Formats: sequence, C-alpha cells, structure tokens
Amino acid sequence: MRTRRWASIGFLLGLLGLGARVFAQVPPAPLPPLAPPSEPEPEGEPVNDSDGYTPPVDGQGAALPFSINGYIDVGFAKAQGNGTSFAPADQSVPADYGVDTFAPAVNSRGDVASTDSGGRFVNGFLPRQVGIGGRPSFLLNTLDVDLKYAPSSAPLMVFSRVQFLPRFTGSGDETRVYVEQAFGRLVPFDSQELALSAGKFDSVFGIEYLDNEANIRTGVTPSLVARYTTGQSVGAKLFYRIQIAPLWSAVSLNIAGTNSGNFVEALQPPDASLSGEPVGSGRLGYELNAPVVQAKLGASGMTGPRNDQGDQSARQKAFGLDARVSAFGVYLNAEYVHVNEGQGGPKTTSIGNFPLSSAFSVRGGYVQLAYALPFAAGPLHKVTVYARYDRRHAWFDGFTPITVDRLTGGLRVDLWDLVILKAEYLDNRELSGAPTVANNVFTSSLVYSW
Amino acid sequence: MGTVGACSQGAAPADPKLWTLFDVEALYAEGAPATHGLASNDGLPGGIPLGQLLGQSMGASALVGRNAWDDDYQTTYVTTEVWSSFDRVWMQPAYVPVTGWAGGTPQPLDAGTTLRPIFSVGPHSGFYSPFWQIVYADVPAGTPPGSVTSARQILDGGYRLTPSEGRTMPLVPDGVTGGGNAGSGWIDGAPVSFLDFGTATFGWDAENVVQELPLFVFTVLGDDGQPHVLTDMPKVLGTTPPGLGGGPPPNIGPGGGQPRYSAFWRIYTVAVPPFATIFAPTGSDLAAALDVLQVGRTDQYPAAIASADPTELAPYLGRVTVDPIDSATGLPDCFATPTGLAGCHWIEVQAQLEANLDASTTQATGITVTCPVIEAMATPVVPL
Repeated sequence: MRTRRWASIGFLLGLLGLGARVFAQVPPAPLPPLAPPSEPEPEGEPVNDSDGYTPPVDGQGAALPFSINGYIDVGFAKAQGNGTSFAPADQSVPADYGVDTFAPAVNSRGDVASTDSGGRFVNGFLPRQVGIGGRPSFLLNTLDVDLKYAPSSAPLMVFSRVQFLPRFTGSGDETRVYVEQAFGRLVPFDSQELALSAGKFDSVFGIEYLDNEANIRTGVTPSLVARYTTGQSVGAKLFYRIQIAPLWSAVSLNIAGTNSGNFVEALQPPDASLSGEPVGSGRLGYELNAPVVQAKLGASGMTGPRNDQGDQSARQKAFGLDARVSAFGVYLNAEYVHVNEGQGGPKTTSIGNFPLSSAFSVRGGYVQLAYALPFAAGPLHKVTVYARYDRRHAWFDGFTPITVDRLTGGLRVDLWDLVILKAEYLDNRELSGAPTVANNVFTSSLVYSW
Repeated sequence: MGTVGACSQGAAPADPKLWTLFDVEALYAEGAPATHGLASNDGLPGGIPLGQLLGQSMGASALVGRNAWDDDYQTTYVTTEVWSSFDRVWMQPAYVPVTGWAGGTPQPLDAGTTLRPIFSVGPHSGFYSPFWQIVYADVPAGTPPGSVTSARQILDGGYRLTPSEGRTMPLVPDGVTGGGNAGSGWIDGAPVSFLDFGTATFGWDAENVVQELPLFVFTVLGDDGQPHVLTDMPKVLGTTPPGLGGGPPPNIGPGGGQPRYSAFWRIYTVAVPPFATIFAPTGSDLAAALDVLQVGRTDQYPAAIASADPTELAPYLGRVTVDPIDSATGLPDCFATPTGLAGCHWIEVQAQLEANLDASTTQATGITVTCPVIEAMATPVVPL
C-alpha cells in the first residue's frame, strides 16, 4: 500500500519534475520520480520544492558514488553605450547610487559589460563585470566543475561546485577561482523527507536561485531583483517536505541560517560573518501537482544584520512571493521582492571596502513566460521562446528613488542533451529618478554540459 | 574610516555618521538638551554640543556663532554639519538652468537675485554634502521658469553643461537664519531651503573630494586624567594642512577682498602643555571651569587684572600663551596688567601653534565639520 502511494506521488511529481527539468536543465536525463521518504532526494540538496539547481540526476549506471559534472558557458555580448548605466554628464557621487549598475547584464552570473565609472567615486553597489564596455566581445563566462560524492553506506551527500571565471580587468586578464558551493547534506530519517545541510549552499529565498547556473537557466541573464535573492552563503539549513497525496499537493519548508542571507556575493561577502550574527532566511512552499497543470507557490523571508558591515544593529529584512505555473508547454514564473536595509558602518563587499553602508530599500519583481516546443529532428531536441518583464524601484536614503524596468526576449535551442544555444535582448529603461542612458544589451550563450 | 578618531583618544572606532541641521532640529524635537554632544566618541572630548550648532532666536532656529582666532584677529564661524568617522567628503553637483550667457555671465532661468539650484543629493544621505559645484545647464530660451526642478530632467535634457565654481550651501530646515544668504532651490522637484556661504570656501581634488583644513581645539587635562574641552577657549583656524606652517588666508573679493577661510575642517585637539598658560582671570566663568577640572590651582592673578574692566579682558579670555611662567605667581609676566596682555606670545595662528607646541600634543579626531566663517577682522564676511 505504501509503495503504491509513493509511486503515485512519484509519478505526479515526476510529471512536475519533467516539466521543470526539460525546460530548465541540461541534459534532460530521464527523471526519477520524487523520491519516497526512504530516499528524500537522490542527489544534490533538496531545495525548496525543486531540484532545479542541483547536479544532473543520476541516470543509468549511477551506482558510482562519485561523479564529476559541469559545464562551459561561452558568451558573445554587445552592450550599448559604454557598457554601464552611468550617465556621462552626471557627476554626483557615489556614481552607483543614482543608476542601476546591474542593468547591462551579459551572462547568467549577472556580470555586466562594465562598471567603469570614469573615475567617479562608487560605493560598492556594483555587480561583477566582464570588462568589455560597449564593444562586442566573445566571453568565457564560466567553466564549472561539480564534484559529488554520495556513498551508499551513509545517508550523506557531499557536493562542491568550483567555477573558473576568466575576466578582462581593464589592466589585463585574470581568472578568479570561485567556490560557489561546498556542502554536505544529511538525511537523518528514512521515513521523512527531511534533510540537513551545512556548508556553502544556494539561497532558500524565492525561486530564481534555482536558475542560477547557465546550463539550467531558461534565458541568459538574471532578473533585476536576482541580486537580492540568488546568492550563496555559508551556514546550515533544513529542508522538510510533506506530501498530501489526496490533494495532489505538497508543502515544503526550507530555512537557513547563514553569514550573509541571500544577496549575491558582489553585494555581501558570504564567506565570513562580519557582524557575528547569522542571517535567517526561509521559504514556505506549496505545490499543486495535478495531471495537466502544475503550480508552485511560495512565500519567503529574510532577517538579520546586513553582512556588508559589522554593526549588528544595521538590519536587513526582506520578504518575497513567488509563483510558477506550467501547463501545455507554457511556463510562467513570477516573483516579487521587498527589501529594506538600515544604515550601518563601513562597507565591505566581495569586491572591496567602501566608506559607508547606506540605508537602502527596494521593491521589485519579474514575470517570465516561456514556451518550450520539443523536437526530435537530429540534434535538435527543443526550441524555447521566452520573454520576461522586470521592474525595480529602489532608493538609497537621501538619493532620488529610481524606477527602472527591463523587457527581455530570447530564444533557446537545445541540441542533443549536451548543448544549449541561447540569445536574448535586454531593453533596459529608466522610468524615473535615474538618467536615461543607452544600456540595452544583446547577449548570447553557448553552454556545453558534461 | 574611523582610524583617525580611533587613535586620537583611544575611543572605539565609530560607524560613519553625519548630522545636518535637520538632524539637530530632530534631536531638539525629541528633547535632547543643548549640551547633547554629537560625535562624542570620535576624539573630541564631549563631542560637539547641539547648542553650538543651532539655538533659538526670536522663536526661530538660528545658527550659533563661535569664536576662533587667526592672525591676531577674532573670527566668528557657524557650524552646519558634523561628520563622524568620515575620511572623505565629496563635492556634489548642483545644477542651475540658464537661458544664455551675457558677457560670460550666465542668465538663470529662474529670475531673481539668488540662485535656485537643483540639488542632486538630499540631506538624509551619508553622502550628502553642503559643498556643491555649480553646473550651469543651457536650457532652451522658451523654457518656463520653475519647470526644470530635478537632476534627472537636467541629465535627460541633454543640455550643454558648464561646471563652474564650488559653493558652500548647506541645505537647512525652513526658517533657519544666522549666516549666509538664504535661498531656495530644488531637490527631486520639491523646494528646499539653503544658506549660501559663497565661493572660495573650499577646494577639491580630481575625484571631487573636498580638501580639509585643520581646526585646532585646545584641551585641558583634568584631575581625572582625561582631556576636556572648555567652551570659552577660542579655536585656532588652520590655513594649510597640518605641519605645513599655516599662513594668512587669501584675500578674495572686490575692493582688496576679505580673508576667505575654508568652510570644511577636520578637528584636531591640542593638549595645552604644562609650560603654557590659559588666560582665565579670577572670577571668570573660565576660571571657575578650570577650578573644577584642576582642583588646587594656585594661579594668582594680579590686582590690576582682577579689577580691570571685563570688556577690556574679553578679547584675551581663554587664549593660550607660551610665555615663561613666573614660579612665584604661576603666571607669565605679561599677565601683570591689562595692557601687558597684548605683549603675550599667544597661540592664535597655525604657524605659532606648530612652532611652539610639540607635534605630539596635536591629535586628529575623526570629526569633520562645515564651519563657514561669517565674520573676520570685525567685519562680516560677505558671501561671493
């Protein structure tokens, strides 16, 4: 009886997983059903209610406890203007307070074409850059190597993700080696879908972090609010999910205590706690896994000291709502994020040290619609068209609030099970507060996975 | 950040903080007393009391003039901003729409005798600065006055921009008086009041960092082993960075000009050494304050001083001299008569201070201030 019940649930969630995986992850290996309690997650870590970001599922011949996976993301991008959002005539400082420096993104990491402020002082509200300015350029966005060890002798999985990030810095080439994830995950009870993780792992806030990696993300670039929700951090987390089979549903809880919460590392360093107090974050999720439509809804929160400075009284609080619906090959993702940060002490990010961590607020979100058309024509396996609308309203205390939006449209082609070709155009607009600048981007990405 | 203050008085490094006159009014509104010290843990004993920034005059907030010395002349300055643990302050752009130029003189869009600048940063940001670079924006001749009121409009308009002079113009709550020319400008389309202390009041570097000069504050060692600031002791205004010997301020303006001092200062404490003497005649408030700090003082001011007209002594009150001390009286000989006071070797300019006092007595604090000089050589300083 129990076996039949879990098989049913597994089938349903398998359908759900199929939708997500064919759409979001390469290679689209045959999917296992959602694991029964005896095997809460076959690999990776259980992340809110999806396996989106995790290493590829063990397929046939997966008995080996050790595996190496990864991908190479080769890009080609061209940004308008000088590749930044800085208005040439604007002399106010900090230069990064009155514009959206993250707008001209060129890859899945959110790196922008340039952050060169032309000598104007900046205060660390900056993304990473690829240093191409307004010039068209090929890029090696990411060389990703994933190692996983999951012995059959223990309910433990160890995972690491190391990335090599070659960049032009303006004064030469430099390759940064970045340990994006490194954690162990323990599933203590066979009867419960409960997992405990410790180490450096993905965010638990919202849903966009599930698409962090280039070989998973539908499009090329992250949304305008990804910087607040998709960062990895060091700490511990707990995942629990309970299935409600009669309702074709499941409810999940994912909570974490980490050094930096969910901000990307360019904004808050994740590898050490600067305040000495952890940041709490979590997501409560609901899944509906009906045969023809799947829906996932979630509410997330984060609270704790901001980790770009050392004062525990400088708090950061965020909440978010997310939804994903898939039916008939159409995928709708939407997310809303609300963040407030209090003023703190001198600022430290992964990029450097800055004088002051200003009070800051942002409200924003995105809606993404995609349609995936499967093919069986030689190497062509799938074609996906997608569009996303982002909107972001943000302000630093004392500075003019700015509102920007972005319309992204793109095409993705999946070849064999190993190659993805994506191309998209980002139409960035400054709606209020920020000066209008030419910062639209064409970018593309060729992702090889192994 | 914070390192200067941290090493000056052994205080813990503080978070960077800025107080504007808006903050001062808010503190008063919350019930803070005039003695409430701003930046009290950043190297200056007691910090800067609220009462040294704003007071009440005829029911309205008014800047408070403070005395300082430079080159044997008493000067008066006011304080409009206090920064704690900021190692830099930046000049920000303030846009002035103009419809043309006549003989090299810009013709402001908004008619009137005073500028109506469009400020780019508000007073609630840690990066707010009262030091603005005027940037003239050539708008079309038919532009309605009052129609361009935000920095975004200026930048989106694609107008020709002409960076010009730097002006010290703190944004202030409506109705604040006591120095500078009152004016009204714009920020994000909303009107905002400011006080204009004019040009030639600060310099800046290639990164628009405002150049700071030293403002020396004497401290007295108390019986508690701690340094104390006595409010009746005048400050000394520096005219060059520390260690460079000072010099007279430049005279700028029509008719031979007036001394133009910096409006941006870093506060340095100067411990009055044992061989120096503070002029604090018996019976004065300053003497009483010293008695509290240094129980058992044995200074014996001569009768000629004790019986002198206080107004005759007032110019010397609190000044520090390095004349040799007579062991019999505990005072220098130049304190014998009121007329003799003029012959004392007072520490009243940066050059004298640096020449006569060991550098170890001088400590940089983490505090910087906007203190435009409003009176020099007994004459109001007219903003240019």
